[in-house]
Amino acid sequence: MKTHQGYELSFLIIPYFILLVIGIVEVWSSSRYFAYIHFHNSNFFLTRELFYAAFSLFATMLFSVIDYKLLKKIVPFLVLVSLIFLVLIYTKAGVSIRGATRWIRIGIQFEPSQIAGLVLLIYIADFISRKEVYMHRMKGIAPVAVVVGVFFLFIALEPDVGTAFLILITFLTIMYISGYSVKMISQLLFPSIVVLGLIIYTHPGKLERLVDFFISKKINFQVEQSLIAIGSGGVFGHGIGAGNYKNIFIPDSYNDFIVAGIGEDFGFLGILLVITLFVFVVFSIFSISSKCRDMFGKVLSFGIGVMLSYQALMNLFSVFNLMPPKGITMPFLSYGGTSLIIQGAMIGIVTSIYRSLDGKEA
Amino acid sequence: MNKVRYNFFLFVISLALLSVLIKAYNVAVIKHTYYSKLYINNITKTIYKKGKRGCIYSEKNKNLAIDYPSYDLFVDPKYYLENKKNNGEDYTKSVERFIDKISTAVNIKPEYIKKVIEDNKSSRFVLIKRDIPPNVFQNISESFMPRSFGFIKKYKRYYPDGEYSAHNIGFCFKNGVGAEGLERYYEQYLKPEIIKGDVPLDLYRYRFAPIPKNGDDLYISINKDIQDYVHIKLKEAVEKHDADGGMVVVLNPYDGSVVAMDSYPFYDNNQYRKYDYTSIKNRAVANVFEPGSVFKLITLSAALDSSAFKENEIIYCEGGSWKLKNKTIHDVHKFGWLGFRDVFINSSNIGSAKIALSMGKKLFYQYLSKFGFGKKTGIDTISESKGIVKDIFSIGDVDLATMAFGQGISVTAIQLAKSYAVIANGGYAVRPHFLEYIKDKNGVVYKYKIDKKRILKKESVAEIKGILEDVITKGTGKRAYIEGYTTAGKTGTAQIPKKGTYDTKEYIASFAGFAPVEHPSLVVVVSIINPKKGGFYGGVVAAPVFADIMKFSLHYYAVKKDK
Repeated sequence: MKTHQGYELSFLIIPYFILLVIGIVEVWSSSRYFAYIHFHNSNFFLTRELFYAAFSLFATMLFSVIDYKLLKKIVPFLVLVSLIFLVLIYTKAGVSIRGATRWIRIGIQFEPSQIAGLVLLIYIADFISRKEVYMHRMKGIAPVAVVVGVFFLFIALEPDVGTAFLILITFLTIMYISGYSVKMISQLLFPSIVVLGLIIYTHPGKLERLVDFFISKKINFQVEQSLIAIGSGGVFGHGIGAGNYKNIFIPDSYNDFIVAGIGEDFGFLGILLVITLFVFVVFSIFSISSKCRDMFGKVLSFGIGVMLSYQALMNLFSVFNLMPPKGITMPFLSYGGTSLIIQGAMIGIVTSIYRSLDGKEA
Repeated sequence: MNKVRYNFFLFVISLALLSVLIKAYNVAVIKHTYYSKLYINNITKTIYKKGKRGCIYSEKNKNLAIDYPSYDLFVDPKYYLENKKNNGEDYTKSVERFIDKISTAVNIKPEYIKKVIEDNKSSRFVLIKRDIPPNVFQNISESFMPRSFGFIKKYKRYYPDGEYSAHNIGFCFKNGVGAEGLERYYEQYLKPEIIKGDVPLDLYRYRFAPIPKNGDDLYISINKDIQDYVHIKLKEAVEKHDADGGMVVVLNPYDGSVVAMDSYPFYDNNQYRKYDYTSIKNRAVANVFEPGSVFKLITLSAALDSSAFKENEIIYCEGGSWKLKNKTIHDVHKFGWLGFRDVFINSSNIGSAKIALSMGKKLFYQYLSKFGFGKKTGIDTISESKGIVKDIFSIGDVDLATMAFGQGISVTAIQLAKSYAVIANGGYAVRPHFLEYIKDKNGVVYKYKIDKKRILKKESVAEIKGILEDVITKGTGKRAYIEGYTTAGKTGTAQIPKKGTYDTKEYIASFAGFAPVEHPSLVVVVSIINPKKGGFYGGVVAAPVFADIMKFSLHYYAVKKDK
């Protein structure tokens, strides 16, 4: 069956692995102060991150071995489970950190919105692969709009505007590329924007960030510190673990602002390397997607590529002050168990899709 | 899938990534210096750290001056009130307990502390109590201490020996700069260096102050035990004779190191502000006085060393009164013809004058210069006087004649001690000094170099020693006799001139000498200023003090008896 000859898999797996390693090093380098202050163990986050990375690689292997077409058969089950997880956030199982309830604890603690993202991609891919004929009618798109809308609302109300926005634009981009008309897309876009607007309006902190960025042109403290950290790194950086600035001055330096730490430790070359590796990963996924002749695999892999690239761009734009700061992590690099495992699973699914290619261009 | 839309999407994604890269390049490479400056400003802080001033140690490594830690207690009223508002009842209670504890420990009222806090509500720093000693500090800081209170550590100077060696050691001003004595002279070694450091925050947000550099320690030749004894004896003598002042110098004749030095009036250098400068002045180096007969040593040495006179010559002493031009010179006892030795043993002024006159002023001044009169001895302490020696071109016979027995010339006690050391050590002029060596934490950084120069012939020194020994056994210095040791010395009683005349009945009674004669251990010079009770002659007032000090010191050093 395996007749396709190409380099996509090496360009996918090797950069992914390197990014994982850089992420582990940077999480260690950036979290030591915070870990020491709160857990009296400066390697607290490192040990956990190593554990998550191992699980992430396991997920990659697992999903690359499993035939991705199996996923198509359990779509309703996946949607239902991940929706239950999202609902659980609003119950006692919800875990609140810094004013946002984004995690649930049922035996283990994890972030349902991350799972929801992947599940939605699978759902949309399944939907588009089955309902191609109804593409130009609003009625045809109604089920997917409802499902995505419900997910979107649950995530946005956590509140996690960043992830909700990411899911929204990923979903709309997939529809746009799949050939849905711009008119239909904008009909979906406007209510979503209104929902996001209302949520932002009811959270003064979030509104303030937008006002600061667009109107008063005031630079956010976290972003300002991250620019100082990156700027001080210069071309080559301070060296691995040598930059203490991010540790002390940048909140979430091991998480949302991990790129600032890379800039401080490895300089501009570090950032260039990370972005290059990312381009390899994402464009390999797009390449695999374009070679896939199965509509489900094609849309699913393409969706994964879109989601990863949007997430990375939103993170980079926040860090470099090109966009109001959003609570979005950097894929493969940032600290976080659920996201790393889900991203591992995404790479695994794409690998599985690659394995099914038959060598003919789609 | 729509190929056009797909390519458009890829184009947008690439463009976005490119814009990130451009921005990253702008921040990290182009604006690198700008951000580096901000980075350093935020992460580093310039810290100044001052260490301890060096200590001063006596000959047997006993402390004469130390820096001990002392603490100032302060409060941050703003933080205190905020904390009180935010924290519960328990916290407030424990803070109150702390306030009670410190108020009993440092002896202030708790109401005072609360009033200070209430009066300075928005202030961030108010001193409550200065100079808390280390044991009290330890007692307070060991238990619970609210973060709104704190201590500032600093060092205070303390002199364990107090007034016993105050004139030698001196003291420091309140700002820690040496003001007097060795503290001032060796300021550049004793003073702690202020270390400046740009210290970045480390990984755990700590900032380690630079390690301060302490001042160097001074090891001086003062022997604390002899110094204390000298102090007691000087005080006794001054009180016994109701004198105005006094000076004692105990010198090691071989290397010139000062074993003890004291002067009256005394002062306590721990409380120097209670005294005026007349007490603080180190009279042993700063006071100039007409020495009287102790100065005949110079006439004697010059006469013998230059071979102008022989020991067996005789001199006519005019029966006690001799008129030279417009000046009449008197002797205490009336003498006719005296042998050269007897002139000095009986301390004849007329005899000494005649010896000096026959030598001539050129030769006499040559020896004055060799002994170092009219020049500072170069002792390592401040405010040394050089004495007063009239210009050689302006003096006549009368001046030369009076100078021969110590009138019309002014000297310091340390200069006298130096001259007697020349005889004691066999003819060498040595520079008197306190310093032995200076040590920093790595070891000796400076060792005193002995300055020694031969000025008298060996043979003449032996003859002079013999004459000085006879002064004590046969002449005016009988009260300087020490049981078991041969002693040599010379008495002196000088009138204090007032307004150019010698009409007053004020005297300076002196005795200078050394023992044992053959290999002298120490030179001791004693001068008592204006004794008003119990006699005024050097042989009566100063010689017993000399004997006491010399006896104590010889026993202290376990010098072998030679008699």
